[in-house]
Amino acid sequence: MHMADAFLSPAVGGGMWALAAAAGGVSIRKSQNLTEGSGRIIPLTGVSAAFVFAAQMINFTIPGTGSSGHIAGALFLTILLGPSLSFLAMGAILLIQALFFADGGILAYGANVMNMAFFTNFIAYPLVYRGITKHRKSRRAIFAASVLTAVLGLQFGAFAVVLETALSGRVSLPFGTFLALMQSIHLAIGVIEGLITAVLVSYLSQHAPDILESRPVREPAPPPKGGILAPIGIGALLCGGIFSLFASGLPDGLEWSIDRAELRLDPERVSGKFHQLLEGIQEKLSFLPDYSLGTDQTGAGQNLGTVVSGLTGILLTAAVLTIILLAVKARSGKKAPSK
Amino acid sequence: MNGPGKIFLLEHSTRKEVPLNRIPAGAHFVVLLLLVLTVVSYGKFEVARLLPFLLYPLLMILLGKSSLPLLVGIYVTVLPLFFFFALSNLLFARAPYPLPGGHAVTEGAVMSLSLVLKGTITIFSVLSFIGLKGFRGLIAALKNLRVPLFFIMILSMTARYIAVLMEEALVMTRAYRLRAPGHRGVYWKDWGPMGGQWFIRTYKRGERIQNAMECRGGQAEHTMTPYHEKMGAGGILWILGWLVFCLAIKLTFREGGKL
Repeated sequence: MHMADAFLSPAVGGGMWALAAAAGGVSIRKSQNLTEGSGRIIPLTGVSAAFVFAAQMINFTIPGTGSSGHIAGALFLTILLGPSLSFLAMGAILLIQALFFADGGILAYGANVMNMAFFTNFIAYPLVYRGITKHRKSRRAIFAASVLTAVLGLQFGAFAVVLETALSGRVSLPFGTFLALMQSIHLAIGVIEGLITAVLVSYLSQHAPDILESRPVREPAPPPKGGILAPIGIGALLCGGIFSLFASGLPDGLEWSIDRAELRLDPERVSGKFHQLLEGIQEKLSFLPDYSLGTDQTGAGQNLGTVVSGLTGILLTAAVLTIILLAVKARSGKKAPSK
Repeated sequence: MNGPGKIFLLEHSTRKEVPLNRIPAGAHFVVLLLLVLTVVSYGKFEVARLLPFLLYPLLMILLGKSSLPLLVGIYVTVLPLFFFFALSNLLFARAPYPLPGGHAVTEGAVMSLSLVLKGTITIFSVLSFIGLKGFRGLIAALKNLRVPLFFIMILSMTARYIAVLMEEALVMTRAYRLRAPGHRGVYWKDWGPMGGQWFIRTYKRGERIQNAMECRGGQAEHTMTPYHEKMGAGGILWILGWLVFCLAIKLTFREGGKL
């Protein structure tokens, strides 16, 4: 499931990086709180992550398909460490794999972390595994919960891989064919991963229950220090000011669809007075038409226009949002009952 | 050597006294990100415009005196994935793609070539960075880039315990072979207990290491490599130089441009 850089577009890769960074930031806040004063968690995290790293190296044959797969290991880590710490450990494993083994790209790192860790840790594990094993800790319950959770997590991950590849548009494998291949192969991998996890967890619960009991207890996360506006703001400025230069000049999905479907607007319906009035207003209001400075439409002028448009758009959006937030705050302040 | 062992091979090949190593790891990492971003920003039919970017991994490998056979060995292990997607392009994109001189190939062939070229540039760029700077450099780069220390600590712990894990695996497999002479591999019924025991043994040893460290006044934060580098003028110049290179190539040879 490790994606390479060449399969992703900068927009998809960058977007997944932003999502992974946000999830990582929240996980760090929660995990730092959990590990303080708990000496056992540190070696447990290191050993578990190293164990999953080694386990991912072992490819097993998938019967009847002529292919092989390896476990993702996110479920085993989550059972031992909890979702947040496990997410960070998976991030560390995937970074080592990307840099030392070229297994997964550096731009695709965010996508790989989200595909292989996020869905299992934060969706499948709380919904399925914890739900089943909350009251029943029997061997059968552990097996059922492990298999179902691993399958669900990997199915989400496999679907995300297909979606990211399709959105990037770097390969011409049809969406339906790729989806069918990925979902079916990861169904088999999910079952095997679930069984391996169940065997390991059952063994640990019998022979070293103290390891399972030493996992971090859930505690409320402290409020963020310094807020999250600064990193979001810097990210937005980078996207609008620099990354926008690398955006494709080809028509977007909607334009492409309209073009391919040969849909054309009826000229009679769009030449009415109301339409002309709106068009006139738009022309007067749009001081950066088509993301350009209006004069020089080629080369450096076009690039400058893109950067100026990106930064202006971000500042305007921030200003509008601030006004709305201030208005909502003022309104809620008026409604609050006086003590 | 088996998979996890390669991490140490690449790591041991990094302790070199070359001028390129004086540039801070943070600057190298920023340039790596910049280059990867620029390369993948090209469209799926771009081939010729990607060629100038081969200069970066070539320079890094030559000036960094990295072990080319080792890097090629790692590159070869990830090639099957590229072949799968390249093959799918050949199968599904059969429309003709005109070439200069009246010739034509299928769109799939051009897409495949572009995909493999992008993969080659990005993979060798990443490997040449690690081949030059190693794990120590990676930690320094992450510190330079203000990545949270808690994450760096987990990364550092993971890499350190891989060695402990491998040692325990070696001890266990040797003991198994001695108990079952002549038997090839591990009997499938023993896989569960072997895996479980492997984890428990490594964890117990990890705990002993942690306790020993704490007895000497160490804390978890100290497990990170104590290695700091300042970006400095050399680092900033390195970044600016490659930024100019990427922008110059990107803006000179635009899609539908000169090439």
